[in-house]
Amino acid sequence: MKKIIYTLVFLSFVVAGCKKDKDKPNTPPSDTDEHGFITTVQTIFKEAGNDNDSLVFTFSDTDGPGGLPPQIRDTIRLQNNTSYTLQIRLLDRSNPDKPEDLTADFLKDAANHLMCFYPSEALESDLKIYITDSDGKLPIGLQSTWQTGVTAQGKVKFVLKHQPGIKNGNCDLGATDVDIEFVTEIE
Amino acid sequence: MCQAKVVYFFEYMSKRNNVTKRILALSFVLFTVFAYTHSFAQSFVVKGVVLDKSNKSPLPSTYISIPQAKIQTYSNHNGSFEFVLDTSGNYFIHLEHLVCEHLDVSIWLSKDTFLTIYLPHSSNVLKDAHIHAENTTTVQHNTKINSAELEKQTGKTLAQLTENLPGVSSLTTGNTVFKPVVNGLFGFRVLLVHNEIRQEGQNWGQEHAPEIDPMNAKEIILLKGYQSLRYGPENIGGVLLINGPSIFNYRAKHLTGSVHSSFASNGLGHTYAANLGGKFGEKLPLFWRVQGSWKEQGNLKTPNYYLNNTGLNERNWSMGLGTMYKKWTFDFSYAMFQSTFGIYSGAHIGNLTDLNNAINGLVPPQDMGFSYAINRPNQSMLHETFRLKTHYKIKEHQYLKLILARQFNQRQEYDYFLVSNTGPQLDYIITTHTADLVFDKQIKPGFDMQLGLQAMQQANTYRGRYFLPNYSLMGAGAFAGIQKEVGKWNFSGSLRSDYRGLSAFYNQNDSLQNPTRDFMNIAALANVDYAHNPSNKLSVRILRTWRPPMPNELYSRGIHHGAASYEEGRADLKTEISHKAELEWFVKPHKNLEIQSTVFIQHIQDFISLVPAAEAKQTIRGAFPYFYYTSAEAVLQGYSFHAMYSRRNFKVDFTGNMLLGFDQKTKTFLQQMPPFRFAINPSYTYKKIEFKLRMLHVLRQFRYEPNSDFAPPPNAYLLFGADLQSFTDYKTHKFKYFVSVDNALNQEYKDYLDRFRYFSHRPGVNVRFGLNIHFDFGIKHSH
Repeated sequence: MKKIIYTLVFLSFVVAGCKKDKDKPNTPPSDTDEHGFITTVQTIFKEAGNDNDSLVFTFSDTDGPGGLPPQIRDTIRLQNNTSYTLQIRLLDRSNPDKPEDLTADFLKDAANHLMCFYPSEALESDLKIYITDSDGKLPIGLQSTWQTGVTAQGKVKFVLKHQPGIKNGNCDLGATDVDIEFVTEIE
Repeated sequence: MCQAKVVYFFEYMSKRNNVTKRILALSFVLFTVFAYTHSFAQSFVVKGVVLDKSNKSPLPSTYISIPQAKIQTYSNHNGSFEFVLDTSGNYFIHLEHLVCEHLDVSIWLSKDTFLTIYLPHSSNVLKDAHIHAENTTTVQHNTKINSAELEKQTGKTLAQLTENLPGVSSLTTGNTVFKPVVNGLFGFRVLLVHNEIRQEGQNWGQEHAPEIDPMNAKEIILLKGYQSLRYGPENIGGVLLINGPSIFNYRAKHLTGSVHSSFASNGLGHTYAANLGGKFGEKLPLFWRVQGSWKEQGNLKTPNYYLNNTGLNERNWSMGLGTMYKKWTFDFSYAMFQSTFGIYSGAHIGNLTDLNNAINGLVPPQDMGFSYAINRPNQSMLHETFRLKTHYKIKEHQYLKLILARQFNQRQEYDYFLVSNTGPQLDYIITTHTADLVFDKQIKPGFDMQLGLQAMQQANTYRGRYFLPNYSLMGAGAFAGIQKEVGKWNFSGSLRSDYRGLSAFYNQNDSLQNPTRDFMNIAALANVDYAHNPSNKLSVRILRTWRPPMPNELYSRGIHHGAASYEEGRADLKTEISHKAELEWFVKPHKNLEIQSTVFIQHIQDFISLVPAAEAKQTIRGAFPYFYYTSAEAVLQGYSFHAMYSRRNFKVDFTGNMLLGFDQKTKTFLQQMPPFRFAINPSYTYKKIEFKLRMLHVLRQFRYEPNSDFAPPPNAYLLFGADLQSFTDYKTHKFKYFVSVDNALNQEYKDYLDRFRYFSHRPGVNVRFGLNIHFDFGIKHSH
């Protein structure tokens, strides 16, 4: 009988001694603890030949998908008959104490990403967008030139695609990292 | 070693005359059938009983088979059995008992015979306990896949193996993940019981397959009798028992085990498994067993393209130790399941636009050729199970069993969308402790009782993105079941009462939320069997089951990847309550023909389902279809049948499964209901070679709501397959080999229960072959 008791005691140690419950359900992670997700797209426009002044327009949804609607949805306002350079920054602002700039990470993986712009019909004739950066073979889209025409109003859709191993310049492929619309006014 | 001794067999003819008279008095029609069978065909009935040699008590659950006549049966609780033979000859009767395995008797049989077989049931009273333990899994009503069937399918997933049970199909996600569907229901509504303990993992996801090593299963049973309530009230769809071999089968001075290997042409899959066991000592014996398996598979191929990132790598091992002491037995086991698998990359879409592009064929299939590499997106799982089972024989026909278990489950999901390559996006850990106390008593022969108590404690935590809250779940339950045989009737029933307490924890805008819910309810089962004669049996069953809403249904919130949807729980969902009535009829209208039919109707009140909302959810990644949980009033109706015609070496199996699902509240069809499916499998046996053709016809699901899904259900399909198998005996070892072809005509098809059917086809032709070796080495030891 003693042997049995010893065996039982031993086995109960085995059972209890394995992976400890590190998990305490009553302390859930913070809901602002997400990491590495784009919450904010910042557009920085500079007039050609004027590096000092910049126009910044932002789209931001810091609590991620669902929950609250996007907090910041700026309208892009540009001068007519002007040439701008656009630089896009991708940010994670889910944690207000620890904002992260993800742009550099994206550029590292530029061969698998593509940003495309879709001006709405009303803007088609008065806004020309040319992507100026390249991953060595194909455009990336984080830098571009915007050439405005006469006064017009419409929308521009920004789409960032993740295309691991399948990037060929076509924006229909792959999975969407960003898909937002800016109301755009040419004044 | 056990030996059988056929002590006495006398002619059964005189007894049979009495029986015939009684039957004549009862039914003229029946008599004519009986007489017809007797006078025109040369068949005869062999009846018998298996008794314990030491105390002359009947031995139930003895497996009796005559391979050359394709007969397989079990002795009932009286130890008696019967079967019919067509031709006279010298038969090898194979008897298998938990204690006395591999027992062969050679006998000349030419006419109605009664056999009395005494098994030297070794004097050790403890072993009696094991027979009883085994008895609980051979209750009638259950349909079962045995180890011989399982071995032919080495390399397949657990859910694919269960598809051979009537009424069972499987839900797949991209050809790598399979989840069993019982009569149209899956997930929380199907209880998976692995070696007597409930499998507890992240069962909520449709793309979450059960974390059980199929190579360690000896049998898979769809449990239907009164004991189906023993494991919990949640078996709204059904209970699937996945049983490994008993550790107490091993014999001293023998090293017993098996080695399995199989290869598949599609995906260049290869599976290996091995197990080894034995026994030390006699006075305080120590039984031991170790087992392991490894499976690897690369990208699968449809008839026209490779499915990118559909590789899989699975590594499992387990060990067991057992001992016996007087009236006690102890059985400890540990099992680890580890799996990493890719999710078809063409299906991991970003938002509604991507989804539409994929469905409308704007995106070509991502064919990047063959590779074993598993890239993002992928999932990896770890499941550990510790189990301690104690069995105590109180006295003759009274047993007490205590099962303590701890399960640890971790599931990590790696998304496609990622900037930096660190860590999973979803990471869940679920730890479950369970305790089961079961009391079994045979009040009289044919009158059994079972009582049970259960306790469960579960903690679930997550790291990474929010989708599910942290939660703790407490459960307690009491079960009572009874079965009584009265002549041709068998009455059984069970009742259980359960409590479930759920406490969830999550942060909303950085303030802790702690909603709690309590649930208490009753589940019950009543069953009546009537065996008019061995060729005509009827069963009627009424079953009430329930389940509480689970945390994902109550509190989930976020994007569900792979599903490309934004899902949201509803905190006010109520308990789901099911009432089901089932009728089973077994009839043998002709000596060569058997038909088993099952018809059921089921009403599920507050049936929790995920339904689409009118508007889409706007996010920085674009618009997502928005789904939320709500309750419906489900009505399911199903009919399944299995007909078998056998004549000499030729056999045909014909199975059919038909199911309808309807929501009474909204007057709409339920989604994801399996379409009608029919299978015809003719087989021919020549000496030791069995050749089988498989034809599977799955109809189009035309019962669906046109605007409830991204794409209409795919077309009907007809698949052909074939199996060839044989075996060789060498001394005490057995070599079994097989070659199989699936989708032999390499047809391009899609399946309605494939969640990735919007994006991809099912795999094309696949040739599998395998070798299973069972060995048994005697160990000489010096005196």
